Amino acid sequence: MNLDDLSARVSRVLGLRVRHRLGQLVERSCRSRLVPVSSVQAFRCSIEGWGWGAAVDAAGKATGAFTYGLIGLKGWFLTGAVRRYSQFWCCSFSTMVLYGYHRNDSRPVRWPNAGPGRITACSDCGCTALLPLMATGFGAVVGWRKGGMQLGLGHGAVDFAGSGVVHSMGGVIALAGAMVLRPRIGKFNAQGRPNAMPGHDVPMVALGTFILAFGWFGLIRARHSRAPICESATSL
Amino acid sequence: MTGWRYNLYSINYVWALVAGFLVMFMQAGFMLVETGLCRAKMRRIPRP
Repeated sequence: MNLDDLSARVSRVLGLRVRHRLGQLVERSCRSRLVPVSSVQAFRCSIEGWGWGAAVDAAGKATGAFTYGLIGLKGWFLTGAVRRYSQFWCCSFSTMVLYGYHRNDSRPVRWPNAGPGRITACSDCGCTALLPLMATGFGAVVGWRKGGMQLGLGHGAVDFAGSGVVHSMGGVIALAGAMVLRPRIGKFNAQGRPNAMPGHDVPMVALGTFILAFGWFGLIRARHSRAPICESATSL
Repeated sequence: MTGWRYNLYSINYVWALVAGFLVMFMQAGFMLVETGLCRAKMRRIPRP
């Protein structure tokens, strides 16, 4: 194991830990009554998703019935197969859905909490075992994943420069923040309809968007080159 | 370090610098986006 693999593993474990704390935060600040999902359960779900994800995703190299990328025989807990995107995909997915589907009362909360209630045991099994399978299996079949069946749909997903971790973490954190903070004051009227909040200077927004898009050339091209260059450009 | 090695070193250096400048310039772009998306209500400058 070289330093690169080591840092990948450490960051993934840290990511799991962050997601776990985030789940606790969301759970405590949610307004609906909750079936007591213990944090131990959620953390176990994350860990299992992690192990499953690695193993399931290592299937591209397996043979026989496993050719289609539905399940693998190696790669458990990041052994052998590292740097696969479905590891964090499975972890975040299973954790979020576990939290979502464990609600017994889906009164006033929206998307991740709006799942059907009263299937706690079933959803527990589903989250810990089936969801990672589904995520990676479907990914393999429809062609997200590199090495899967792909059906002629693209080349599969490649975790490029850690961008998968960045975006999944950003999305989950943003979702949790939105759930905690609720809609901003004045966004919805008394009837529950959204009020428009237009910006005041659209040309400025357009100009900034173009500048951002152009700056991305620097980011992406720097990432494409060798690792020391990548780091120096990013830290610059 | 002479000859093409030196050139390679320089080219890599300039490459990293230019990429870094582009990333820095993204700060300006993001500032424009965010300020443009603020509501007129939130402007501190009075309307002319």
